[in-house]
Amino acid sequence: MPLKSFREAINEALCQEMANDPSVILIGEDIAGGNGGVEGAAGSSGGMLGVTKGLYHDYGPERVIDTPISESAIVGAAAGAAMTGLRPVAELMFMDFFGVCFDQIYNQAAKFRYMFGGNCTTPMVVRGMVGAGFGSAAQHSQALWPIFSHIPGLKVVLPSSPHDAKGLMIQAIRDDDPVIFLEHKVLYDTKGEVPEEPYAIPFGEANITREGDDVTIVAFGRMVNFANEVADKLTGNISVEVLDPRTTSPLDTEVILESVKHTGRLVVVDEANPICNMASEVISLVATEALQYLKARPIKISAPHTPVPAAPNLETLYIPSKETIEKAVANLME
Amino acid sequence: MSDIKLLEVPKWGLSMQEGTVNAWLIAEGDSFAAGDEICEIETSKIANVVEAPFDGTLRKILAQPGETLPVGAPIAVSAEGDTDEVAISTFLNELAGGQGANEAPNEVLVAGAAAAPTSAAATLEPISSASAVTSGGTEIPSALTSGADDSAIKATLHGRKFAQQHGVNLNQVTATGRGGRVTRTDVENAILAAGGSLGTQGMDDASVAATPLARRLAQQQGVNLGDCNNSGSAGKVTKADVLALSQASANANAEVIPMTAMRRTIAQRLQAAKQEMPHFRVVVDVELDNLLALRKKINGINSGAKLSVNDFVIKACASALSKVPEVNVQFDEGSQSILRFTDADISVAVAMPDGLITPIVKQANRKGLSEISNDMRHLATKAKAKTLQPDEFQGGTFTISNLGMFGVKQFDAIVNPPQCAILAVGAGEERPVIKGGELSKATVMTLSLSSDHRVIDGSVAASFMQELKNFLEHPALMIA
Repeated sequence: MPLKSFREAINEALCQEMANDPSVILIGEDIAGGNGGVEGAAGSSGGMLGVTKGLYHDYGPERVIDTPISESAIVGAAAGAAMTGLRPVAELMFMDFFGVCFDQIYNQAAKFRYMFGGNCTTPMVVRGMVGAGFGSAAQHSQALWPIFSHIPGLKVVLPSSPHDAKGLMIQAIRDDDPVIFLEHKVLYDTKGEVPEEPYAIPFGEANITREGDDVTIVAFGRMVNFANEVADKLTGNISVEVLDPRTTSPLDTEVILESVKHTGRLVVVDEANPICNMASEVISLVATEALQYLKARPIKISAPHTPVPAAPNLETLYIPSKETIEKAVANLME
Repeated sequence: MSDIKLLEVPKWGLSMQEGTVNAWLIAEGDSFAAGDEICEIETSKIANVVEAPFDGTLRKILAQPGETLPVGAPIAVSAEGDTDEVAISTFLNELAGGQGANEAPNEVLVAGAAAAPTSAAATLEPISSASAVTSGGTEIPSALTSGADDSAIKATLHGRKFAQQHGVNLNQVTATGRGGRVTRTDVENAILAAGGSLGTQGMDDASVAATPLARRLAQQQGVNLGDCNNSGSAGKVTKADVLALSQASANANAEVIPMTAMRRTIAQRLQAAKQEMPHFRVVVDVELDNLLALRKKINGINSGAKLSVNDFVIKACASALSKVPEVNVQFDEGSQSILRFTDADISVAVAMPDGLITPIVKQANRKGLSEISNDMRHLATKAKAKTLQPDEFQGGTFTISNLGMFGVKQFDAIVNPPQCAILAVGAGEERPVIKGGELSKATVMTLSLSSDHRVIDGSVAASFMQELKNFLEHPALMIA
């Protein structure tokens, strides 16, 4: 199976779905790519992220729409297009910019189906970068999935591998509800096996990336890779099960509970700030539904409750580390 | 058609893993009916007889006395009396061929069943035809184990693992999980719906949901949490569940006697007295020779009453209570006050077949010995006939409990609230005594007064005992 980068996997998903369904359009800043839209260079770079590379060339300006720098226009246009029958994929570049278009997301797109009595669906995707580790500082590095997960009506996707990124993007485009698709910027160049053919990964179904009997680690996004490395390192010593929920909303509570009932020990790793994040949610779930199965207190590993630092050495300290995860697992087994 | 069936090591309780055949109670060739006792098997906990699960004839014993086998292992072959020997040996050969010596018995049944069509002589019908017991005591109905390849059925990892572990085919399970996945809960529900049972993971009950208290108690009592009910919230085993099981097993060899109303009253009142009342005791020895001589003289002359030593004790107590009225009291907890009485209403404990009752000799301080004696005889008769009226046993200002007739030397009694003192009377017996440096003998009785220190102090109790001793040793003082 060919190895592809996270970036290429998403690009392939967009390309295949655009080929498959003419109602799929892309909208965002500089997604056509090229050097400021210079004739002949269009689509050559695929925007700042390179995720849409080549799509302008393949599908033209009607389906790959470059916009001015106005996030509220991008998301507002996408929501309207979705209501009227298209399947737009809007790009916010850095998800941190949602602040200027959150009304369009949470009070409009997320509410249409509900408030119009089911007479309207909003099959749109909002893509963007999240996460720290790239030296992008406080306004461009946040892990915002808890905020989106809090809103009923939104589905929130957080892939951890190229394989999942492609399958989840295809599902996101085919889904009839607004989907927030969060791409961790540090993962763009990680490579993994990605099948050529289109495939959809259903939402709300966790992936068990490592099977084990002693400790369950529930990790989100990039942290899944950290947890996998810890599980591999401890093999033969502590048997670690790693769960990647893949979507934070809907959350696969069934598999989380099954796993915790099996192992009796829980570590949750969430790069997001600790208050009201997914680690809080998972531990709350286990505490209310499976407390009696726990052999030890659950451990929550998150970033500190501060903005993401710009200085690389501080940023490294900010992000939950493999060492912290390993220590937590060992601690639970004492 | 003749049936060849296996008799197996039964499973008595979820924690039973293996059994040792102690003895066969029937011989090869004997026929038996369902319910007949056929052999004795001993487990780590009990020895018990195996009852035949069906009618048949014992054709071949497979497990000799002394052999220890896992639960479900075959111990004998049963068949109709006219079944061909060849068919039985064919059956046994297939059994041996289908398994290694100690392989799980379930596989024996499966292997035997698969081979059945080729064996024209016998139809194989495993005893547990409807189900097989897998690890941890989970019983899987056979309806769930068959079906097409289930690898394409959507299931959660733990759902699939659990199903594989117990041989459940996922085609037979209704999926309720997200996206049509079969969850572990679905598999468990399917097993229960098909009439199977879910065991525990062997002896280890660490995975059984239980309250911390229940878990600690279960460890102390050696109870497996998997054997308990789970009546608590979220299906947890509670303390009551553990107690129910440990009492059920403890009660197995005991006759269960419900508490009578009298028993419950005694239990409740004396429990409260012992818990709430600060008891202390004062003990004296009393020489009875003068009293016994007087009694002999009176009983020899007076035909109206036969006085007992106890009658003298009642009279002496009444006299002593008149001298030390601080003991002739009741404590009213509600108003935090002491009720001191002029008359001594003396309760006397009377043993009954199912408890005791304390009829009252009222105003004993005003009565002569004959009257006390007649009262007492009358009350005791009524008590034994259970015809006492409430006012004849409720109230009283002081109690006497006499175990002297049993030869008891000395004992301590529990005060019966709201009274504040009780006298425990031992047997009068000849004892050596030293008087003025000379060893002599006397009939001596030991009296022990239990008092409620909230209202009676040590010196008061001691004064009372001093007076009582004086009256008993010099009974003439009682008429003074």
